[in-house]
Amino acid sequence: MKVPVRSLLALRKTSTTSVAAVEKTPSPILSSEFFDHIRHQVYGDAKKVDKIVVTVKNVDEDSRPVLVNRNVSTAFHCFNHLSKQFADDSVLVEVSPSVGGAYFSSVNQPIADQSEITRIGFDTREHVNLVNEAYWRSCSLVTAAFLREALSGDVDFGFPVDNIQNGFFSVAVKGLDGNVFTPDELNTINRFGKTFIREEKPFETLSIPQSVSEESGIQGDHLVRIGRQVFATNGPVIRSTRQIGRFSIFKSKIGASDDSEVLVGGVSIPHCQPTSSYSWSLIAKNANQKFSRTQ
Amino acid sequence: MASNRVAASLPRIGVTIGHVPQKLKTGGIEPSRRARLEVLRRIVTRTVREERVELKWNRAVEARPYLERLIQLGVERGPLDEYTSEMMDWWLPEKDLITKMHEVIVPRFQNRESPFTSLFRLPPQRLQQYIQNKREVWKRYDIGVLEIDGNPFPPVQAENQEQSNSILDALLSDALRNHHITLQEKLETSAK
Repeated sequence: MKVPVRSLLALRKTSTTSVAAVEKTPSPILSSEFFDHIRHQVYGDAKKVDKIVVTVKNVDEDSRPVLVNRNVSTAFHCFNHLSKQFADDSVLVEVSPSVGGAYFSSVNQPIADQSEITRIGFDTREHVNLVNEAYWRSCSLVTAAFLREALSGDVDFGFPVDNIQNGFFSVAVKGLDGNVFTPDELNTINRFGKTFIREEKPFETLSIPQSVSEESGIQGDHLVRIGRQVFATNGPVIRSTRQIGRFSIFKSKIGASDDSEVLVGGVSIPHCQPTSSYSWSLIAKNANQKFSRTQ
Repeated sequence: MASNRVAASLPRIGVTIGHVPQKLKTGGIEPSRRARLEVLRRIVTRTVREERVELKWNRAVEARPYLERLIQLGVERGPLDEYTSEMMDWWLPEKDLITKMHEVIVPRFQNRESPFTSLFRLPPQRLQQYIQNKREVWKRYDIGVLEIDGNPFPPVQAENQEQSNSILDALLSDALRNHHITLQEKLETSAK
């Protein structure tokens, strides 16, 4: 019989919880409603439609201007004017606004001004590091998203800065009272995570101005919503969980700095970079060893 | 005779020809020399319409020279030539395709050398034919993809790209390096 991960972990948590009087710092509850509120605050009323011309630069063909809605339409909508595959394969976008300097953003971030946009995919040569960072960041966020859905308790997440060379990404889970996951629980979480990823949830992204983030207490310059889970982060993320290929959460351990913090390590490769089971087993084993060795 | 004179004055097509003509059976058409041409005409018409088609390998090989010659006639002679228009009329019974040929496909190859088509071989497919007395009959097919070059679809063969910094390569090279180190250590320990 399949045991839902939520009840499994909730049961274990109630049986092992110890009372701890820890003062929590006031931080906003990152809910889906909060995300909508911030979007309204940053981008204004979605019902008021204002048209802008965005030029989509294509390497193979000429640039194509498309008419879209200011603060509502995203680069993904613009790319869809060219072709669905072109849009689906996009990971990040380089935006060159008519006023101000160029910047890199997520594909699902609303476009605020008339600009030129260039698609960046996993096949990029110029921006490989940027794409890798965005992918690793997105994997951490997805892990946090399905862990929050699975645990359904009062848990908070931190995102240690990992890079591809580390061989793994990690998420700091606060609120587990130092209880690490058993291998059986990790298996259950992995199954739940894979189902979550298969649902092809988009990474809805908002770029938060500093004034708004200070006022609302958001720690980061981007707000990302995956399904109904919202997180603050620093930097762009990939387009959708559809772009995540092989994915595994392999271990959890007590954090080095804080005993109540549990670090969950994982590894993943993009869907468009397929590999054999043997290569994947080497990658997962290496990531597990490196994660275990890291302090 | 006329066809011989025209063909002689045209450059050679850039694809392989000259193997034994095959029967190319199809349901609804009695097998004969004429039937073979009918089958090839269907394939050529469909290829001009769709620009990339998936066929049995032998049919794709057989139809390719005819399609190549038809495009070549368009490129070399143009729509006003009598023999060209006769050939177009016969090979493309759907008349909008003649317009497509002269206005879309031929201009694409004005300054290009033959071949104008590409043929790729796909892995063989095993398909169920029928079930007779609870016995399933399967058949193995060699599949070919015939396409007119410059079509709007993504390429059949992906370009080989230098991806040494991609996530997979970075993770895999690190994993292999550590795997070799571990193996070396094990060997040294066992030697001692």
